[in-house]
Amino acid sequence: MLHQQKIFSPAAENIRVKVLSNRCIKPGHFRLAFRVPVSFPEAVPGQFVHIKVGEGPVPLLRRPFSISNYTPGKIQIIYAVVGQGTKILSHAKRGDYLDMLGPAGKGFCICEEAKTHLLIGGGMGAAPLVFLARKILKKVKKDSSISVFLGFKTKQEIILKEEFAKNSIIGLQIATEDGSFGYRGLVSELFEDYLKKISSTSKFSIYACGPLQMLKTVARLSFDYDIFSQVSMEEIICCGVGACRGCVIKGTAGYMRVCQEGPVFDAKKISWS
Amino acid sequence: MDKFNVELAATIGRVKLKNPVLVAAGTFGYGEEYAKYVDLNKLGGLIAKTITLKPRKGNPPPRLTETPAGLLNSIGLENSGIDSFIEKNLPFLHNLKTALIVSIAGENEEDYLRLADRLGKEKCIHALEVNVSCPNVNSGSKMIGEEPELVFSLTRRLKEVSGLPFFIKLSAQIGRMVELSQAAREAGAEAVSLINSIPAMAIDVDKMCPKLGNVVGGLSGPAIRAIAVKIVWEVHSKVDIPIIGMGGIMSLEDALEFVLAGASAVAVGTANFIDPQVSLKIIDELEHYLYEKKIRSFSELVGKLKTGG
Ligand SMILES: Cc1cc2nc3c(=O)[nH]c(=O)nc-3n(C[C@H](O)[C@H](O)[C@H](O)COP(=O)(O)O)c2cc1C
Ligand code: FES
Repeated sequence: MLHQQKIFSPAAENIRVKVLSNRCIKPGHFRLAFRVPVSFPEAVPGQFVHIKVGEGPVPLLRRPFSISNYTPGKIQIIYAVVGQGTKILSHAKRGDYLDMLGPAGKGFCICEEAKTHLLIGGGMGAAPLVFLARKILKKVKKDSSISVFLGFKTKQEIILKEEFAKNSIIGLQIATEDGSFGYRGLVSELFEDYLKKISSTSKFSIYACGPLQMLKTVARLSFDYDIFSQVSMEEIICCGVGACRGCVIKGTAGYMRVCQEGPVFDAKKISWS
Repeated sequence: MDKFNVELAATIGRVKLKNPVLVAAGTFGYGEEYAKYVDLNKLGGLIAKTITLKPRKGNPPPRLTETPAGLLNSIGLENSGIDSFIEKNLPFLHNLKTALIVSIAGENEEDYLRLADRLGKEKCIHALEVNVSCPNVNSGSKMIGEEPELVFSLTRRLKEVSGLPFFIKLSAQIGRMVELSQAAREAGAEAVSLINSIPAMAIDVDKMCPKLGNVVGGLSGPAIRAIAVKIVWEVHSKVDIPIIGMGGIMSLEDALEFVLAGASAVAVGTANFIDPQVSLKIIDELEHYLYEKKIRSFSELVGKLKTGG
């Protein structure tokens, strides 16, 4: 089985950034891009930016957003309007300034010996996986493959399908819970069906981001099939710098901070029960 | 107007601060976490996160939830214990050019005494903040911070163990704050820190369960400010003891409310999470405010609330 190679956690910066665009990509979903200095630390897929969305005091805290693309000088996030914070952010316009702390946390490490990269995303969990797929394509050898499994509630909620589909090297499969598109059922079930048909899973590597229940199933499958897997965990993020200890989840060796030791963890280090 | 220099220095008993803005316990880690974002040496002082004798795992997650203008936390004093603090955190704190106040908590009086004894030997510590009021530790027995006699006895004994100044951090026992502060004063505490987060809870009605893993937690942030200001004002009017005021300070205006109500210094807590630079901004703005108001020294402002016309 493959192993995690390195812990990647460059120090974040707290700066004011200029919004380049904030476009509605489908009802209730936005893609926001902002400029960062060229000297800004290179962001890794799975890392997040911690943004002060309004002047407060409601909502009070910053909001964390997973980075969906980074190119020198520019960061992109994709978000759904789910509460007060994202609602305020959806009103940000080109030229506005935002207070941003990032790139924060530890992202996915790309398993270079892997020949088959399996990316599993549930709902908005697809956002960092676009960035990850792009990075994997750049980094790995020609003879390796990328398979992406995405799950959504309904056809209406599907996001980023085109981004993945436009690259012919990527095998994309989609599940919808109501069966309105692709596989009917959960993405974890789709993924399990896929694994059942595979004869050998050596040199496989799993990367997952999505709801807890999905991650739980993916982790269990990765143990059953003996595949190295990394999962991106969610918890409320407060300080984002490791100071408050408010963002912990239970690990096999004690509590771990999602904003520092995570959000991406080796699935073996998490206490799933 | 003549140019004149504004004096920002603040005094809390024997403790001299270069300015009256501190960062509150538990909201700034051990300083190092924020060193990249804030020039720590510009702070009036740093109150390090509460430490205990033995390591504490803290409470089960989720540990945080947001309420309107408030933050509800149940961290549960997670920390690695005093040995780890002295070995791993103190060397960094030692090099800071600002007042270092270390917050301590114990399960009983003996714990506090042993902590004070050990920390009393460390030259770089300016004072100890005695946390007798964490709403997130359930030790079964009554919290020391709820009983004036216990506060008195603990403070007395602490003073026998160490010559360091002690700031007693009381919980918001609305209605008994005067009594509790009086007990701290009579036992010889240098100051009282008012207030800790207020016991509170929030419920997820969809799942029909508490939003925090620990069921209950402590409320902080702007939501508690008006309560904190009133407590500071009341204690300042009735008890002759310096006060470090805190609770929901997000701006200079908020800080000034505490000062006018009687706080000799203030501590910024929850606001650090939203803007790590906020304390430095408050310090700059305070200097400007004093200048505009033609007040030469910050200390002239303490308790200058005008009441009754
Ligand atoms: C996440 C968090 C952790 C805290 N941890 C401690 C602590 O370890 N010891 C302590 O005395 N107070 C602790 N407090 C209380 C603060 O020091 C402060 O008294 C309180 O939050 C009110 O100030 P604020 O509204 O500015 O945050 C904590 C508060 C928060 C929000
Ligand atoms: S959000 Fe504060 S430690 Fe992670």
